[in-house]
Amino acid sequence: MDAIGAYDLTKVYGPGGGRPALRGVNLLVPEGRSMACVGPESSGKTTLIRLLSGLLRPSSGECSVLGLSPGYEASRLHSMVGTVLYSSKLYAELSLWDNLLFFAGIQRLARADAVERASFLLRRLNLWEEREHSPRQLSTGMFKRASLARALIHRPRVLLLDSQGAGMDLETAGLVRELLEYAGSQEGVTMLMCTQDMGFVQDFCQSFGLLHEGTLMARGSLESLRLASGAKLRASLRLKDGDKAPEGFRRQRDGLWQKALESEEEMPRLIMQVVSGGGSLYEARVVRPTLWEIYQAHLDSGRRREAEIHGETGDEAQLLQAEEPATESAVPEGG
Amino acid sequence: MSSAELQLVKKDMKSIWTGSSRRALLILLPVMLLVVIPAVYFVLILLMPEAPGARPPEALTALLPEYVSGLEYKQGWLVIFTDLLCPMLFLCVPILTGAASASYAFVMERESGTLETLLLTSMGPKSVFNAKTTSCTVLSVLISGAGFLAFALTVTVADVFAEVRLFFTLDWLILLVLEMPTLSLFSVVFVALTVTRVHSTVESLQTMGYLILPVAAIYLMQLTGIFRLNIIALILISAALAVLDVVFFNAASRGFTPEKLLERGGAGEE
Repeated sequence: MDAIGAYDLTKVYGPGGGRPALRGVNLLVPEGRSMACVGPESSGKTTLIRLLSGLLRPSSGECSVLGLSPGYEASRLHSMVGTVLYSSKLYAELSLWDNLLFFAGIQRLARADAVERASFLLRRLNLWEEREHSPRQLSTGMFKRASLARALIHRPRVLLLDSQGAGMDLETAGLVRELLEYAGSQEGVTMLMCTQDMGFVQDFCQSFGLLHEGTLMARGSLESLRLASGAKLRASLRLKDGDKAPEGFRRQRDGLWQKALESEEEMPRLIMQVVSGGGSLYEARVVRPTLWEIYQAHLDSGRRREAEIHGETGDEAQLLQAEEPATESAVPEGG
Repeated sequence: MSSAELQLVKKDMKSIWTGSSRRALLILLPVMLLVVIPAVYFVLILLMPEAPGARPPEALTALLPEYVSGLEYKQGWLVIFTDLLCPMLFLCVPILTGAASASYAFVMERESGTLETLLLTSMGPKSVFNAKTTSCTVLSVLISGAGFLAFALTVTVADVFAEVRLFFTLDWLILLVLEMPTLSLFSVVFVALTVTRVHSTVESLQTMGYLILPVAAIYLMQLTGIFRLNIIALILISAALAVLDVVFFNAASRGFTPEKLLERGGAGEE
């Protein structure tokens, strides 16, 4: 069963229209799975979370969470869904502990249960010592952890997270990831994360959506997105100084030799070639493109397609690609 | 009222009351209006020079009970002030406290981002609205009631000292039991109605001016000696306020949707 679904979801702010904040988005997240929608600022991430949490109504299209329509059954929805938005805050006049107990009470948790759950979450997020502090006294990272604790206080079945990872310190990122992994694996929580921190979600989520200017460019697993984008795997070799790499490899700044691969099946042959040639191979591995590189590759292919549609020549399209400094570093050519 | 609503009512009342600047405003306003101003006025009346045989204006004493025309100059002015002007001062308290509480409970919460967090709970917008309206109205009524006790004590002392009949009449009972609560609720729902239109708490607090103006105008017009708000008029005004309360409450409740609230709150359009 799909826990989260969006069907041709579109949102235009204001009565006058203008550029849609979200345009024809389709996505499905099966129950118990995690999906991340990634993109830069103004790509529609917050709007998507607001629509799914019922804070906004779609201009057209539909969405559902656990079979409920967020805009019309918000009350029932929020008893089963936890939402973290950058703009949703905690009460500054209450301590962190009192905030959690207050929101637990609002979510109709029994007092003993609320105390147990709040204690568990604060300890897992390393906020136990700060429980008597006002949210105003917490650092940005601590506040993000506290917001997550608030969203998880009523043991939701679905978690909608906005801007996770962005601006988090290492400790916060680690603790948040651990808790989310626990919630996913032990509590069966379905998650949809919208973030621009692609590194944070890359190893955590099973599927991804690539948002750009309100449009979902592509969605799927990391591997299917990579294949669709044309981003290549790379063979990376570390050789003894002075040894020469096989043909097609290019030396990187860090001393490693790299080459684009059509598939990882090529790797054993390349290793054999180095070893049989008498080279001293210290390290060999297949480097997979990061989510950010895949995102950039999708963006570039989209721009190329757009350029073709508008009748620009192949040269002009190449020029457009060459003008993008991120593209060159995103998919470095091996040879 | 559900347990969640009750919790929010308690939290809101506590939050409004425990904020030192808010508490100071909610205490100082009634004290100024219902204790300091009447006390100063009574002292001034007692100190003002009195010409032999002087009487208060007949046009005003004619509006008051018959016994007033038989009172001395200072006694007459004391009763005129108590009966014709003090109701206005008293009614300013539910307006000010209701509007101030609602500004904090609705607008400040929207500005600080906690209203959005509440809208992400299972309470739902209607329950949040009901709870906030209740907490502000109850707080306003309690403060107004306490203010009235302080006022009654001040006026009673003045009445005893000036040797006039005690001030409390059926008019005051209607003001206290009917008009004050309906005006409290009216002020709260009026601010709630404007919550999606105002940009800040300060702007919201300014709406108090619109509410006080008609009350002040009606009571000050009594000093022309043309008319006086009698018991029937007071009951009719209370009834009209009750009807307006229902209308405004429903309108404000309908407009209390996350989309409208967040639009004005500068929700990110990312």
